[in-house]
Amino acid sequence: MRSELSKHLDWAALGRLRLQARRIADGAWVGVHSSRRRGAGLEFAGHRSYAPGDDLRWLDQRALLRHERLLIKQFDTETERTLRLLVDATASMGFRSETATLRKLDYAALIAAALTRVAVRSGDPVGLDFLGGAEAQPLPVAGGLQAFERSLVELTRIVPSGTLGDSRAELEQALAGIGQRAPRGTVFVVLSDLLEFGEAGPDVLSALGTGGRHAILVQVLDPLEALFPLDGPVRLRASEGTLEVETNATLARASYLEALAALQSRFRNTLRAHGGELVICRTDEDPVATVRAILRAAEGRAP
Amino acid sequence: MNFLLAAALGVGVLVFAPLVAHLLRRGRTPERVFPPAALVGRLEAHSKERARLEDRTLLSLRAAMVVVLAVLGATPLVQCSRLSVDRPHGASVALALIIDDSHSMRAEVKAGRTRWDEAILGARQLMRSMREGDAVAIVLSGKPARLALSGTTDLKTARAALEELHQTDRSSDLDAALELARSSVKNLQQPDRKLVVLSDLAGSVLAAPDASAPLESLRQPIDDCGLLVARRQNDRLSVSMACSKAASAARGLHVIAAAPIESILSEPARLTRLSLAPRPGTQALSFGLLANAPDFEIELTPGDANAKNDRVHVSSEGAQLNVAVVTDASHASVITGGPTVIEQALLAVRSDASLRPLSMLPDETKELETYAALVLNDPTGLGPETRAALGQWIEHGGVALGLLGPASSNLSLSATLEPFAERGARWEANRVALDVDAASVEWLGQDARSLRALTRGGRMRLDGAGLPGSASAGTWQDGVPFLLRRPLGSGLVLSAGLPASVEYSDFALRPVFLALLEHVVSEAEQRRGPGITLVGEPWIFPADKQVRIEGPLGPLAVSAEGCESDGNPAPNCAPGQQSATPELAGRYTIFSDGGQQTRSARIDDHEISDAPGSAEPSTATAAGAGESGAIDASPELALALLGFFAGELVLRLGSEARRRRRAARALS
Repeated sequence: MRSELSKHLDWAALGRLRLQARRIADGAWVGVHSSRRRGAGLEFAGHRSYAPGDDLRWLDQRALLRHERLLIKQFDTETERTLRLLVDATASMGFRSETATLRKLDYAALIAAALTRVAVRSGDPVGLDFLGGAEAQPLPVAGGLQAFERSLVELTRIVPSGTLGDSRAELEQALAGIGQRAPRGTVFVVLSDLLEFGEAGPDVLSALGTGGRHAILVQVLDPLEALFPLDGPVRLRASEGTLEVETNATLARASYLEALAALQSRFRNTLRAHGGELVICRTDEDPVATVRAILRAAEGRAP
Repeated sequence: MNFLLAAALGVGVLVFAPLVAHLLRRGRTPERVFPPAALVGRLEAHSKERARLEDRTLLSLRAAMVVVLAVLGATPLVQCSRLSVDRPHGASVALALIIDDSHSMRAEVKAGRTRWDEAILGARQLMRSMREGDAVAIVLSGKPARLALSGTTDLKTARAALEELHQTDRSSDLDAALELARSSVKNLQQPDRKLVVLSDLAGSVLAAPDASAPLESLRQPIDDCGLLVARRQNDRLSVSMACSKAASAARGLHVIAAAPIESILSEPARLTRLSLAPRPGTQALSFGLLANAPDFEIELTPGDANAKNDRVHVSSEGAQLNVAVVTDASHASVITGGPTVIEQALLAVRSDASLRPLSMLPDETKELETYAALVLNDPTGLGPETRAALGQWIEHGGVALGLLGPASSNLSLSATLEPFAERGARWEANRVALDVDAASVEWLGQDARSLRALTRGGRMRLDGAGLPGSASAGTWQDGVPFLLRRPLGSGLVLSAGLPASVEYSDFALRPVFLALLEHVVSEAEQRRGPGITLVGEPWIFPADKQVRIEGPLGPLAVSAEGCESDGNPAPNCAPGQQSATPELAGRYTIFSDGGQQTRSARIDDHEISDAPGSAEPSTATAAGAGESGAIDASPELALALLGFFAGELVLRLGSEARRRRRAARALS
């Protein structure tokens, strides 16, 4: 079994990722959190008006008799928060510029591993899924250090490849089964460059945050993509598809940065409308800061 | 070619370097993977377009710089093909430029450039290669050959004189031009004397050992057909045209007139069907004309190498030389009958002349106006009205020849011999055959020797019978005048002491008689004329007339003997004989003394039909003025190089600014 796995796994890389993830997680550790939600539980938390579809078991009959109103009893409960990591492993995530030390996918894997570590230490179960990519398998939601180890294995094995469809239907199909099966309270963290999602991307990804779930998009960019420090005539080829653009980088820089900001703004606005948040990071930035920003976003604070 | 020259010119191979660099640069456009490429503004079309325009211009500039650098390195070793004076001994040179200004030099040999242009260019190049101390003379070989500039060391003046030369439609007279050129440099001090002929040498071979004809480009055969003359003879239109040997395409004739062609030609359809094969040499065409047809022009189409001879004017005036012959046919005819001796002789002299035998002289000037010359044989005297009409006609340019005989001495009371002689002229019967002094009539040419034993029954004694202004133009052996010449107004009166009748003398049968008639006809052509003469033949006018001539290109200069100052008539001068020489073919209107007449100057057919000549190889090499010479063009080349650099700088600055503006527009 181990020898079979060795064919596909870089044990050295796995060890390095483990160490780094632990270091990052330790640096970002913010303490045990309480995942409170209202609903069925032990400690009464008040009433609210009945709404069609509410479970009739929590109908307060005494209140009905006393006030002649339909009220539902609410309770606070200590519960675990499921973390679902969705890592974009399409071809564009394999990009690394000359000045960068990590590919975007490597950086995303590092962040994912650190988040897994944080979740495991908090006692929350973690699930791992990929968009595109090859060689790796999605991991079902599980808890404990074993889940962390398995995540590391898959994050090490993942090879960037493939593309995402531009159409809404294709994107929804790619995310089908991930968002729908997730229980309420699940926190989705999508690690992607968000460049190949097309027009439907903000809506489809934001939909992960509906139904009592929380969606955080982490845009991972190479410094070259974030700053576009090129000069003079250049022919640019997209890593996915056949698109080629010949331009003068010096002259096109301002317009590119504007377009990138507009894209980020679209994702951010759409996410916030659904209670989510967008976190932007560069592969040359400190991953600890990135994880902290994600955790802040997960708690509903500004990243 | 030595190693240094080869190496310098070898730098020129680097002209391809900018091209290769350009291609490499275009092929090495930096290409890289960039995932968010879709977010980058596309400048492809603009950048390609700008690169193409900018790069091409810059490429040309850089290639030009490389070439200039190569030539600069090779200068002054590089041998240019421009003409230059060869100096085998390194000494000063006396150069006689013989420039052909005949009609054939007006033919185009390159696009928009005529042989004349090429010849002038060659002359300029030769002038440019001359140094201080060299002398130059310019001779024009159009007939008659003329000295445009006598030998001078003032090269600035020579260049100015060269620039003042212009093309003409003259015939060519190369032999006379060579003689003139030799004489123009003969007495100059320069040890080397060279004759350079810039001509097409039409119809001739230059074999003079002291002359060279360096411009071979002038002697390329050309496709040319031209109209020489269009005469109107009553109801016929006679057209003469000539074609060169190299003429190949068929031609057609077109009438150009304000009036419809149906009112000009009797068979207009024939003209439209006409397709003239380009036959080398001359050919004649004839068409029927309608009565009272207006003046018009005819044109040869399509155009060819020489467009200057494709159009000719057909006029109703002065189209033909009309000569009136007044004689008693019973005395002046030969025994076998037919035309009189005078008519036969005139036809022998000028076959195209129109002869009008008259039984008696008209007594009105109007009736004489149509004639250019009048031959009066043994008149029996002239009445007052006839004398007045004749005198007036002569004063307006008529030429009259009076052949006085025995009848002229028997005058009636009111008749005289004026304007030929006074009443004192008398017939002297003499059985002894008398001779005319050949020396006194040498001006008639070699035929003057045929005047021995001329008389058969006597002679007219003209001594003491000369009218005022008369001068003896020939005498008998005993000194008695045989021929009197008397200018009268614009015309001329010649009085001979023998009649044409063979009963009294052999005069009409001698060659000198033909020479005399030829003289009469040519004088008539010059003074009143048939209206058509060859270009370059002078027209002579009396001195006491105010003459003004309008030609195809404006006024034609009229010169007067003894009144010329720098080639122009001097003011307030009592001139002698006036003359004008048409230099272009076409129609001229002459205004003199209140009268008006029309003359035409035509092109010599040899100027079209004769193929370009050649220069014997020994001639060209012997002359030593040719197409070689080391030309140091370093200053010009360096200047050009500097200009190229400045051009590139300006181009780069300008294109950069434009590129930025366009990019900003494209991205917005």
